[in-house]
Amino acid sequence: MTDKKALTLIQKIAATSSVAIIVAGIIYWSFQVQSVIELLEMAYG
Amino acid sequence: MELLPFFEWAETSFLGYIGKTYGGVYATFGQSIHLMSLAVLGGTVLVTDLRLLGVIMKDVPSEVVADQAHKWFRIALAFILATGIFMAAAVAQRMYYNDFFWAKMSALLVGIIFVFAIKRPLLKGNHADIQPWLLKLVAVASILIWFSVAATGRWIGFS
Amino acid sequence: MCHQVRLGEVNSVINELLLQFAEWLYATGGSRAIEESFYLYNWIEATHVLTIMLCLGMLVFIDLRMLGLAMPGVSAVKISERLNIPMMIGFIIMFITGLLLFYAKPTYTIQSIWFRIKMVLLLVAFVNAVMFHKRLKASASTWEYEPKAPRRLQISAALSLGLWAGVVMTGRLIAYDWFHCYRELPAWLGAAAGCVAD
Repeated sequence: MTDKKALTLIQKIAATSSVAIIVAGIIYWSFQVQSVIELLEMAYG
Repeated sequence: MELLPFFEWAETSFLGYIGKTYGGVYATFGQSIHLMSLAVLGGTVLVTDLRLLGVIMKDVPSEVVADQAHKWFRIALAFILATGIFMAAAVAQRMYYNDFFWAKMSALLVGIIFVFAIKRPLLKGNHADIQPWLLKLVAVASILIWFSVAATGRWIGFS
Repeated sequence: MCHQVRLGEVNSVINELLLQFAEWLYATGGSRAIEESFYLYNWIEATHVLTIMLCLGMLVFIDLRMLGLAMPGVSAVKISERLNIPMMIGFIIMFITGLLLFYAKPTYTIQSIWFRIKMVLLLVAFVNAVMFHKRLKASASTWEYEPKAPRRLQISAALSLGLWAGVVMTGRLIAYDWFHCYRELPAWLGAAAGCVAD
């Protein structure tokens, strides 16, 4: 029986990689949005 | 490693020649089938992940949903890769200098590894043995990565 | 002969009216604002394209279930009912963004043969969907736990997949002007695309 409290190896890997993907995704997209905003500010002031 | 020669070669290859010369073949067999496969691939991702998040089909076991969706995910992925390679070959040199192309390729690689090396092995067993927060975390990451692949892909054409 | 001439006349009057309507739309401020804004237009277009995953993704799952190709162990009615809501949300988003895309390029789009085929396919898909749901409701209790739906519903599901594949393809092809009015076109194609004589 698996202990519900302790994470198995695959569960640990899944948790870490999911967090990494979410953090990287947020950074990438906020960077994209920011550069568009800067571009629009340069164009229209 | 220098990749530019590979992209130059791809454009002169048979595949690249066909896509470059016959706009109709590029648009129908390349772009249109790519989009149809996107519908299926995105659908399987959303069905699984929204189920894991408890948004849809709460009365259907999530193991069944995940297994069945993965079957079609693999088929859609095969079609989307084949048509994607065909399209990229035709405009390979332009792709080499396109930031969104590389963003998409990176996200795609992460997505494929995530699905086959992590998500599938994790979801194979009984989902009741997995902490609910972990299932939700994996679902959010999965939606985000495949959304990123699709969105950066669409932006290749705009830039 | 006389009959044919009349049909041709009616068609050209309709095409003329459609073009006038499109030209009126084109002249409005909102239309110009969307088409001239790189980001606004492309974000609407990207949303339209990406929502395909929600709208058609769910639709494909329902149709595959009817054909016995996905989730054969789960009640067909349950699948159809549960996935209907996300599918309709996707459809509404696609419909609104689609309207905005047309609004941004009305004169180009109204004379696109692909756009016209797409609208016909959408109409047929709509009629097919209504009939499908009627039949499903009427008969489902007798077979919903069987892996495959009855033959007529299977045909309807296969037709739905084909029609929507056609909608995706013709939608993608609107971007290409191979058969636009400024090209050399056979008379029948020009009439079908909505070309109007100067």
